[in-house]
Amino acid sequence: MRVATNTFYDNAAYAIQLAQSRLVRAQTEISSNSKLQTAADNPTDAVQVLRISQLLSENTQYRGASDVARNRLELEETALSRMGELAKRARELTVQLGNDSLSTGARRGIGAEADALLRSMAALANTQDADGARMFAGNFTSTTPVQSFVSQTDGKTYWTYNGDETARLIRVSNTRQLPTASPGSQVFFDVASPVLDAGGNPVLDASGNPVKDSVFAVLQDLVAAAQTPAPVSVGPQIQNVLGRLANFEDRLVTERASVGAFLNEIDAVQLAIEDSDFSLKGLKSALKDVDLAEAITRFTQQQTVLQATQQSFVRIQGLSLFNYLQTGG
Amino acid sequence: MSFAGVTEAGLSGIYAAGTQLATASHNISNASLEGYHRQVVVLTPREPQLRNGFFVGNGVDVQTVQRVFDSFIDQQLRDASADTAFLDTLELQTGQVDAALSSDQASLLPTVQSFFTALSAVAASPTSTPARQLVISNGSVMADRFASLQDRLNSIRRGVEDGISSAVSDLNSFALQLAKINDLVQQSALDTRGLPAADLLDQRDTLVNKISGLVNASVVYRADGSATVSVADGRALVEGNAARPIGASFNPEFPAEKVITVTVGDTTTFLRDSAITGGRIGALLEVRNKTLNFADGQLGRIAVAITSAINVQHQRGFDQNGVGGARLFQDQTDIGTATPSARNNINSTAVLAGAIVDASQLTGLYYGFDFDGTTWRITSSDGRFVAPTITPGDPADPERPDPAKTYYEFEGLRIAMSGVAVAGDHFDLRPTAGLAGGMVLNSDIAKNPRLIAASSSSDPRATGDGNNAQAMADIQRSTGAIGGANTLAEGYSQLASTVGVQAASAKTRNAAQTALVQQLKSQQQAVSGINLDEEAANLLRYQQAYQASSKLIALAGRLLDSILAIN
Repeated sequence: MRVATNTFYDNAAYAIQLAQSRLVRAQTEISSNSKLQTAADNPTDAVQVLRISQLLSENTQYRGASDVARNRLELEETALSRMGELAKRARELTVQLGNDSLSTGARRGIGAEADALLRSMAALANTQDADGARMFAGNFTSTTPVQSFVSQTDGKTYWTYNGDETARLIRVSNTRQLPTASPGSQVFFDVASPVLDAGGNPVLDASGNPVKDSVFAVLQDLVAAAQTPAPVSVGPQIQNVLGRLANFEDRLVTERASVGAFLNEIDAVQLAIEDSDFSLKGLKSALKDVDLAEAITRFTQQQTVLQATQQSFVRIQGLSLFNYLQTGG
Repeated sequence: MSFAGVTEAGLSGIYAAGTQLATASHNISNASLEGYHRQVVVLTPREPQLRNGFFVGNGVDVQTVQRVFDSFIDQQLRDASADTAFLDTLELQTGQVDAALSSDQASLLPTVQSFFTALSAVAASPTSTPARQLVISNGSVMADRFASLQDRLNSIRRGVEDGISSAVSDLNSFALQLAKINDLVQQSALDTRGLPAADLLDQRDTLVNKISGLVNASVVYRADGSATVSVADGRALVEGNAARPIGASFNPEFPAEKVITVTVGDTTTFLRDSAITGGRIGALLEVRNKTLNFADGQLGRIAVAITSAINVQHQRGFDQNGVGGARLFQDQTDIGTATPSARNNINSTAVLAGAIVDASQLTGLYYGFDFDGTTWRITSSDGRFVAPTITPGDPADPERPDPAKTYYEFEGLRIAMSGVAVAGDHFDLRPTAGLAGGMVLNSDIAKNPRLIAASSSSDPRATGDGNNAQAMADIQRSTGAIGGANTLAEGYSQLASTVGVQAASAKTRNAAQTALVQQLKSQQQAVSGINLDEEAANLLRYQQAYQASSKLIALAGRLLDSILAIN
């Protein structure tokens, strides 16, 4: 075939450009460690990568949410465990108070400790979490959930719940919303038992709602019983306090069991998130990351091609019959 | 035998060899010129003379200088080069849109994800001010990213529109040059009895090639050597020595878009884009109509799907003061009125006012409205007839209260038709185009994160209620958010992959086409290109022929001398 001189140059330029663009492509992939610079490089894989990044972002959300839920449940667990110890001590004090040989002074001493227990118990019920939210107030997290008031009618101290009845839910997976921190009304109060005054009428709070029996009312009754001067028997009060205290301790145990179950569930959720993250990241890397060994080999190969093309071009370009033509001859 | 014959033959040989030397020199000096065809001298023996009953040769004649030319290969190369011009532009421009939508730095999705992650953090800790603040800042980052992506699309669009104008002005300038060359070709054909100058034909063909690199052109070569070039369904661009330039004007219906025009006398006709294919202009129109308009509509669709769904949910919730939520983003549901066609009847008073009623049902497509005398026919940009629900206005209907209007509802839109339309009226509406640039956070809420309606309880004490924030965060996972069937991320994936496929296809086609052009170019050059070694050899050959012919004249002189010497 007849070859035009231009064809040498054109073909060399074309081959050099081709080799250079492949070289640049390999170089870009190596330096960015990414096969997918834009979707055009591989639309199918690019869509997969977007889908994976969406799932990874959901995992991040759930990891954050489950961390918040864990912190809150662990805080609740600590408060409940401390309350359990206080209740145990209260039971010991109640039993001691049952000893009819105690002096008035000894009863007062027990009363003072019971009063301190009552304040600690109330403080724990009003615990705040890291955000300053009251743990046991349901959604009314800025409201102090457990408060006392002194009745105008009989001068006694009563305890009321001011939070709401909702367990706060946190979404920790596509399918699961976990309750974190039960409302105090469920843990500390017995909604079925209204507190009655001396006349047998329900006691009403400032808003006119009936006051419910609670661990605070129990401890308040223990404090009151301890005020009874010796040797008047406090036997009936003691029996009453012990019975209601046991009821409250049962509630604590149940509540702690469910908190423990939720914490286990969070462990499982977080494990699932880690697993899913691991496999998604692996998949994403397989789709997107460069096989460096392959890319570097390709780079070197293209470099060799480019050099060979350039060298052969220079050689061919030097060949010309005009080099041998004698002028003036 | 005649001495004069020897001299004549010698002279004709000198003349022929001189012409050949000149042509070889011409070939050498034009060797690298684009579009140049190798020229050769066509020689014929001179008519012999009848003398004493037989013919005696009389030397050589230069019949013509012609180019070596294979019209079949040249036409193949011209068509393939025009395709390359088309694909080069297509690859470059779709590549830009692709990079804007899917390069790591520009990608939109991470900012959307961060916004929803911030909402889910507020759902878990609604009392946390930093968590609320993060919704505001991540919301602004997301809105900024949408806006900057819209900006990028707009700037690519401006580049495309400017490209159309400059390509049209190139086209007109080539057309004028070709008309002049046609004139010269015709003249030279007259001067040479139908054999126009080879160099003029080269110039003619080069211009024809340049024109077909700009737009699909059909070319007819006349007997006089002139080229008639027509574009866009047979409109003559160049005919003989006359050029009829085309124009690029702003489309009165979409002032950001250029449309190709043809002016005859005082009448300017707007050509349909579909009439212009191929070449740089065809590629620019295709990028605008298929890639940019698609991306613009889809991006707006995703933006408004987010803002509408978030706004609706936010308005269901309550802020930290127990007050019902306002819109978290500025409302984008009023999409203005459809643009009337410039061809509409002057008596038409129709107004088509659009609103988005269900962002999750939007298609992101464009719609055309045609009035047939009784009702409006609606066509979507993917070529479907759309069947709307038609409801006359009724004061009792709070959604459609105006009795003077008729409400057409389809695909997430409600169009209120008012005024009097005339049969043949046409309107265009691009419901979601540009909406990505209008994603803006409510400035009151941006200043005061307490106003984020995270709670689903109106009780101001319910500060720990994050249920509404959770409901907003859940929108990210909602499979009905886009087109009623996809998540937001899937909507974006579809946009990015559709443009990615367009860019990838342009790239692949262009690579194949470039290789084909390279091959055809070698073939064409094999026929018509210059080989300098060949010319060097020719130079030697013609030089020898020249020298030999010169010797003939000297010989004739010596022969005469020897006759004269007989004495």
